[in-house]
Amino acid sequence: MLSKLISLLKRSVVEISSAVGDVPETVDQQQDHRLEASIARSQSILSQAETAFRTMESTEQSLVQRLDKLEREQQHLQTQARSALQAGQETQAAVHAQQISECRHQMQSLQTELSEVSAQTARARYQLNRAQSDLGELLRERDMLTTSQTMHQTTLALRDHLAEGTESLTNARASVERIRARQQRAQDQWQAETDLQQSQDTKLQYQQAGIVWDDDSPDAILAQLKKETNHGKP
Amino acid sequence: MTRLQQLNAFLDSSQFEGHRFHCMPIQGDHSVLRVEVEHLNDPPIFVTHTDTQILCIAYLAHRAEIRDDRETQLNALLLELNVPMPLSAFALVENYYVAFGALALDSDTHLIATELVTLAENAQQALLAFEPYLR
Repeated sequence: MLSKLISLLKRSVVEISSAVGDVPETVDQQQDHRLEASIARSQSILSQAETAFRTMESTEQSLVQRLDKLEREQQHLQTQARSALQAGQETQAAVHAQQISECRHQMQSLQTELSEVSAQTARARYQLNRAQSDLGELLRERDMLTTSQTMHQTTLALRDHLAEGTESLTNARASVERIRARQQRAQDQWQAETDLQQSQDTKLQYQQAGIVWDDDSPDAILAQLKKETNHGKP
Repeated sequence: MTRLQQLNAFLDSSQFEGHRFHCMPIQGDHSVLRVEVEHLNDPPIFVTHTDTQILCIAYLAHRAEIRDDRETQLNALLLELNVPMPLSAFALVENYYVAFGALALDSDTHLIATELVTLAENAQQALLAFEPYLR
């Protein structure tokens, strides 16, 4: 399936004449139509397989029920035959024996039929699983194609939309510069906050030592200027 | 209300991991939502959807912006980065290098917000990785 998708993507979107009439149809559209037809066919096969399987399963269940009934009937007849023999009613016991024999013949016949139906049910189950799997694969293929087409169509639409405003969809160099500038601003802000915190800590230490720090004194201003000038350097 | 309209309404009023979202719907054959993640708005993210998936796409660079002599190396780098990059993958669409993430259509909005922020971070890091390969 992936190879089908790859071959589709490799083909350029060249307009070719549709098989029906002269309406031009792109390769994408042709592929879409073929895929939709395959999906419809696969859904129909799946539906038939489901019906066939349900029918076979129902027939099988019916045969099993009939066999069970005959089995119970046979057991009942055997009980009756034994009772008749115990009561010395041999003629009655012979009648029951005849009925048991007919019952067994019917059971053998049903058993043969059940074997055939079971085999058919197994085949129907296999067909059903296969139809489900085939449909699943086609739906996945459609999903992949739709995703691919959406990506391409969205990209082309965005490119055209931005081109109307004389923008381009990408300008990697400009984006990188903006990212770098933002990172630098964040770094500067962090550094300024760190410096401010250190300055406040120093001031607090001086105050605790009884030294009054005058920010507006010439020495303090000069020290601050030196610090800013040598920022980040020893 | 369409899925993108719902998403737009949610993102406009949301904040996720300290990021706000700025959304702008773009009308057309395919509805697209342009989303900028605050502090990570380069490149913006474009959100669209199919019948089954929500696609979040960040356009990184056009092939024409890549140095001819380094394109092969860039492609190898992107293939190597594809696995470690969380929640996103690289692709080439209509000659644009993109980073993208895909989610199930019924993904909850919290997951989509996670995807958007992660993709924005990935795209920003990817662009910085692109720098040596740009013209």
